[in-house]
Amino acid sequence: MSVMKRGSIIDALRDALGPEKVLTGPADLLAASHDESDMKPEKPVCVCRPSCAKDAVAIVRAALEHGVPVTARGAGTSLEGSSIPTPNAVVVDFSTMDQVIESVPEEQRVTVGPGIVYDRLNRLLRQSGLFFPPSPGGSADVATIGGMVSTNASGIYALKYGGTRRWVSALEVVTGRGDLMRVGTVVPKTTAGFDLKDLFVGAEGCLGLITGITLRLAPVPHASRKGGFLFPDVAAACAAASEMAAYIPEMAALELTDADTMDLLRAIPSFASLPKGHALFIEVHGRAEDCEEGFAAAEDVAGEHLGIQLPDEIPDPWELRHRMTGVIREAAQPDGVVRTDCAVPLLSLPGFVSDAKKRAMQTGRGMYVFGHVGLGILHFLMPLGGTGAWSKDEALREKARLGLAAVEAGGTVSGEHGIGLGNREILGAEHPVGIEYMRAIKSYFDPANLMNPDKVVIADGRHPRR
Amino acid sequence: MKILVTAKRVTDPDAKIRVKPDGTGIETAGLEYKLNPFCENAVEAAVSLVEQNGGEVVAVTIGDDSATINLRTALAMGAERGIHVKASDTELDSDLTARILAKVYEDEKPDLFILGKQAVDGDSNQVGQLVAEYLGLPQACFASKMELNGDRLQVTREVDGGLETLDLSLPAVVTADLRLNEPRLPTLPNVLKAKRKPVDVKTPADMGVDTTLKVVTVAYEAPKERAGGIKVKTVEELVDKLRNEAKVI
Repeated sequence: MSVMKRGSIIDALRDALGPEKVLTGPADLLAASHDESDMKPEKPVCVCRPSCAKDAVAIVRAALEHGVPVTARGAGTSLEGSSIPTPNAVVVDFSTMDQVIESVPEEQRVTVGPGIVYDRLNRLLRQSGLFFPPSPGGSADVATIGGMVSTNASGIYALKYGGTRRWVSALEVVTGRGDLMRVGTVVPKTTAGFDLKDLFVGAEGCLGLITGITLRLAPVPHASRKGGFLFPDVAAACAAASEMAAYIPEMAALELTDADTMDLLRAIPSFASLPKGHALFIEVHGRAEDCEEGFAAAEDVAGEHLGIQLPDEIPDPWELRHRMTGVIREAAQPDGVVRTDCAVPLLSLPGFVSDAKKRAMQTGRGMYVFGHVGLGILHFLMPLGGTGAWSKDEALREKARLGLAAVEAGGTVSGEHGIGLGNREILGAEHPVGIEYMRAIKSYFDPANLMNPDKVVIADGRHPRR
Repeated sequence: MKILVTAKRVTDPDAKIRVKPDGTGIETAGLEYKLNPFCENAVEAAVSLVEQNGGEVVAVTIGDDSATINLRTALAMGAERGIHVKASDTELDSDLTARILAKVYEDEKPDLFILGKQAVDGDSNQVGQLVAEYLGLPQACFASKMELNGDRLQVTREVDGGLETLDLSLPAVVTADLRLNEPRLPTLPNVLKAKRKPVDVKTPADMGVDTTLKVVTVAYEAPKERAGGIKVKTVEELVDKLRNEAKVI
């Protein structure tokens, strides 16, 4: 490891990048201090805006010389604190590296800078008949592709198309050692050694920085149809969802929204017509006749579980989906929410969800739940303010309990948001042996332990509480 | 029926546009291009009219070599063939564009000419109106609904405070607004078909169009950069600044 250098990291970065790419204004530091979780913000030392891979290498090398931690940032839409800066860190904000570097629709691939926003990329691709499918439910209009790769994000269409990982074919990365390298390949299949690319997908900036991303793309479906069903109780909705996910191959999206969340949505004037009850919102993709068949099959399944179809005039399901987190956080002001991101096997869904709701109800506390239920992913949101408020300690204990219960059921503590700061305690329980291998991998890519070092796995094994 | 439709290439409306330091134009390095969204509405309208009534859709673009890519999008959406008139943006103004399109119309003699109401990069909103004037045809701009009734076309337009419905004889010129329809996404098999559809390439000179410009762009200028805000300590200071610096009270 290099000897600490005198002089400030800010000066070193200004020299290396040029002063216009190193921001230290109070508003810049404040903007980079938080993400979309309600965890405690932390102001960075400065915010760098690299415009190319060379800049990113220079940032990592300066950080190594000065022994300063580095936290990468896309749009800051993490829900588990992944993009909250490590104390005294330099934030690398990739929002200006938002170009399409190479678009090759003839090979169904596109190479982009990490800062490009999900919706913008798909708007650009639309006319070529291709799209990048995962579609993050609440943040497609702001989330960057770099952030989605770093958290292996998923979204409403992950049921049919898989999460981000399935679509990443190659990356350009800067490791925590300061090496610039390409991992993966643009051809669809390779057996050339261990897959280093897949280590960076979902690494939350803990192994290095991602400076370029080659994505595979999916053909836009010939036809699609969306709609919703309403159920008298949440277990019935979950049972219907697990059958729809397993037996209807056209099912592209399958989202649960519990009655409490529906009540909050109804308070929005344009959603006033929303009926009461627990809802499943679905979308089927395929040829027109497949869609009709898939939708009819979903109607049958819903009927078996006493579900009724929502009238066609209901608001667009994905507009509703987009607003869910927002309305719950608003109802939980001023303290926000504690949320889970656990996932359980389909057959465990009905029991898991109704138990969690029952436990909360017995103590008079709020427990909102929605999620990509077709993948078993469940976002339980516990309000820290407003009606049914939890104390923060109780809510964190309940979050840990739900995470552990999901792991015990054979599921996972994090379906799509990542470990960040919020799920670190449970990661070891999910992978008691594996976590040692994760630490070893981390320490090879990042021997100085400077790459977002308080997230995911902690070098010395201790997970400090913030 | 035969419908002529425009397929203009525009800069990605989501991209941050930067003016060249010398003010002679915009920085095009790293810019993505796509089919003008209003032209997408026009193509969708043309293709669905032909699907219901039979006929042919011909798409026309004016632009440099790369404009073909966006013309192919219109072909992938269902136009039968394309016409690419080669000219770079700096060689064009709205008037010349309209005269070129009027010539294309005269060569093709369609029953209906649908254009995007404006291009989302230049935002001039002149071409459809000029084309109708040059050709002496009935025009209906900003169409939000179109219905073919025998040999007449009913067009609903959004005007201040309500809707206006016009009844046009054909041939006519219509410009498409956003709410006219939801443009279809090209499917991959149609993208492949589009690659093989014929595109007729010409220049304004081939067509005998006088290329003299009536309007010349003198300079481009970026909006002034905003200075950062400051915090004031007292209400008095705030009032003073509002009165004497900002001059708003």
